Amino acid sequence: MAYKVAITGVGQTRTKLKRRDVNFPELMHEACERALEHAELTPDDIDCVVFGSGPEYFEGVGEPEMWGTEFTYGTHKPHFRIQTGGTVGASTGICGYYMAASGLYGNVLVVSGDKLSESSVQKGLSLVYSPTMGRDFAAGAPSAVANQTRIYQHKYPEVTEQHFAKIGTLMRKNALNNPNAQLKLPQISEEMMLNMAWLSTPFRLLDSCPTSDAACAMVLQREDFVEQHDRPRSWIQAVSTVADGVNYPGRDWSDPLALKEAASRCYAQVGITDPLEQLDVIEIYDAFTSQHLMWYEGLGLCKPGESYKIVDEGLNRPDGKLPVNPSGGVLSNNSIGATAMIRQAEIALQIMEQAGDRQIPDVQVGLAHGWGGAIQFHTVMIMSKEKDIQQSFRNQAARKKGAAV
Amino acid sequence: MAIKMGLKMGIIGGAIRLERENLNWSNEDTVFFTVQAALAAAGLTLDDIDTVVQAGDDVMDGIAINHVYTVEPSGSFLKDESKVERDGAWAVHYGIAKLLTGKFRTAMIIAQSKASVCDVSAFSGMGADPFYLRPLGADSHTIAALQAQYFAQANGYGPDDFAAVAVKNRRNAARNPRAMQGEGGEYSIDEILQAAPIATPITRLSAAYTGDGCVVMFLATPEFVRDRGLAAKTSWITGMGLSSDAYYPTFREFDRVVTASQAAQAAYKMAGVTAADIDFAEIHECYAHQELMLYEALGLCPAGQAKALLESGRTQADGDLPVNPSGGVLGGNVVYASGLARMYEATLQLQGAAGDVQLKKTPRRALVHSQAGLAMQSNITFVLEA
Repeated sequence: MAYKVAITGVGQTRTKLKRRDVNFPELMHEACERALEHAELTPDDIDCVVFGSGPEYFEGVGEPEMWGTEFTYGTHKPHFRIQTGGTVGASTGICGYYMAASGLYGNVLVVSGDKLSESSVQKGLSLVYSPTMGRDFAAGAPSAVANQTRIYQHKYPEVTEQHFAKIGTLMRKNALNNPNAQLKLPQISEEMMLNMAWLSTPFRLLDSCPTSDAACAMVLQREDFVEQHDRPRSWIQAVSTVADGVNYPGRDWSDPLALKEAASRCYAQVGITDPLEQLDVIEIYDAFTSQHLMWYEGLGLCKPGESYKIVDEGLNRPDGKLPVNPSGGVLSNNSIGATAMIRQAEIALQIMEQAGDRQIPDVQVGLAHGWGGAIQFHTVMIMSKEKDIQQSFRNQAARKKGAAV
Repeated sequence: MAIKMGLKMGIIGGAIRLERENLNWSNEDTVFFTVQAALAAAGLTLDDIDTVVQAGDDVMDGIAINHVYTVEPSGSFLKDESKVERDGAWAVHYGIAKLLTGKFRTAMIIAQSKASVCDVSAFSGMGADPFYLRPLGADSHTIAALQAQYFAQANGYGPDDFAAVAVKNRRNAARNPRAMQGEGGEYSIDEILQAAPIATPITRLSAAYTGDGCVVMFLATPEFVRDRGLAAKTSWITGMGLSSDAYYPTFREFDRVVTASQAAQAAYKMAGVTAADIDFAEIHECYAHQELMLYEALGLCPAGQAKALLESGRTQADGDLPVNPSGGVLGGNVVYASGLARMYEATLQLQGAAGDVQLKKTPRRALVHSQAGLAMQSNITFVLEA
């Protein structure tokens, strides 16, 4: 039987292009310290630590959790590492969930991050390409996602660069409300987006995320420990990590099969039938602007090919029907290692009503998404304010009824 | 540390493949054929597998996010899947946590690497931090050699005492068709000591040779075992413990393995047993001296008595407390799979299916150990019962 688990502490580091003041374990430590402080726990309370980071090529250190053991409060405790590429932050959070939900541990610390300034990120990501089939033309992540986007546009010619510009502008505006975001462009506009230099067609420079040095940590507590205090908490209700293949014949790169699977498995567990109605806020892994369109579809927010309408109608704005990435998203901050965990942490903060200037009013149910691998891994985590998610749905219904009156 | 009591998780089969080098197979081939062999041996199909935990390393494979390419050959396509970047024994820990939630009935654990395409010193040396250890040329061999010297000095042991472990394990490996071909054999203590030096006192024969391979195991809940009528061919994990030490050797008690003791005590407690209840052990000794250190740490003998335990003959295959009857990791090392290999060999013993290395009296209870990091920084143990 699964125990209920809640996130009760969140810590994010100060994020910059280059954090010259810390090394990699020290960066991870900063996040851990903040998460424990937020949860009002001490290192002695933690009985399991799950460490996540991207490919070892990023920092040039093998098995970096070993070097980071003391820095992440793991000494003389269960302490190990998860590594799934872009999804790693989410995979680490989800592993932490299973550690607590299994009953094996009561207070779990999860931490994930990368210090991308230590190496050339795109060279590291080019090593994802197959040594025999892909590396001759490997050019990091942008070219792969550009291909994915071209395929999507080929299927749905209505989707244009204007949509990408609109999404990029919205995310950069959202980032202005988030002290943890790295890329802050108060002057952002659709015109500016469309006038940037080409990165890899159809992407211009600002269609892409920046690279960051960042870490994120969370404290996950089993229900019996959560109920010993009355501090804010965000209950984890469903999790899923799903793997697609790499490049099999007939694979449609623009059709996120793994996301559809992960989302539908989570929806089935909690009884979500209309995600656009039943979710109050979502954080998605948008390393590139166009991915909003594909991930909306994968999450079942719209019919295939109609996600651009969500953008056109502004449903994804902070004041829209379903705010997407009020944090500014990955487009404003991407260290890879921390990125997918920040999605979970941001939803937890929204549910705890501690999201500061980016707070969405009365969040009952939220969803955090992660993406990674060779365009093939997807993760989903659904959280709610009430321990019983059905109570959260009832609260939503009461709010809507009140609004109607 | 809060310890959950009364674990019971089934191991319902698996497969192993260890080779010095396989020039014909890629990682994908190795994983595909080992998973297929494991499914056939366990009488399962891919539809029976609910979740997958892989174990492997990017640097070993020369591929960033290495498991992207093993999703398809392992049959994990659109399954619930994740990767632990450490020995498969830690992937078992994750698999058990997943099954305990009741959300899954079965878990497939896959551990693989291919050292024939990666220099092991370069791989393990990358685990040295860039500031203090790397400038010294630290790698798994040199740090383990320092540890051996420390341990020898603290106990008055010599290189010949360590070599006696290699003699025992390589002899056992020679009888085990699943051990790495060429690593088993009858050696004298002198032959072990006079083999090519690696880092004093470690020689080519007192260090495990690192090759290519894969180990696959299936875990299942008691309900699945009952519903499928698999009880007769199931071994049970009844205890589990794990612990990591500080990174820098200077911050550890270097002449003993504190975290292996912590892991073992946690596992014994969870299983409700003591070290005295163990019938035999399969432990992860990358170097001969580590087996002696682990005798003490795992509670198989009192502190300072490791040499006496070995000399008593009790840990030989025909003794009353056999350790590594499979030949252990000295019988062939596949990085990230060697700990899982220990668990696989232990289940075969418990099932009476270990073939040429089957212990005379079929054992009822096993201790399984795995290690990670430079000089056993991190340790995990399991108690297995028939």
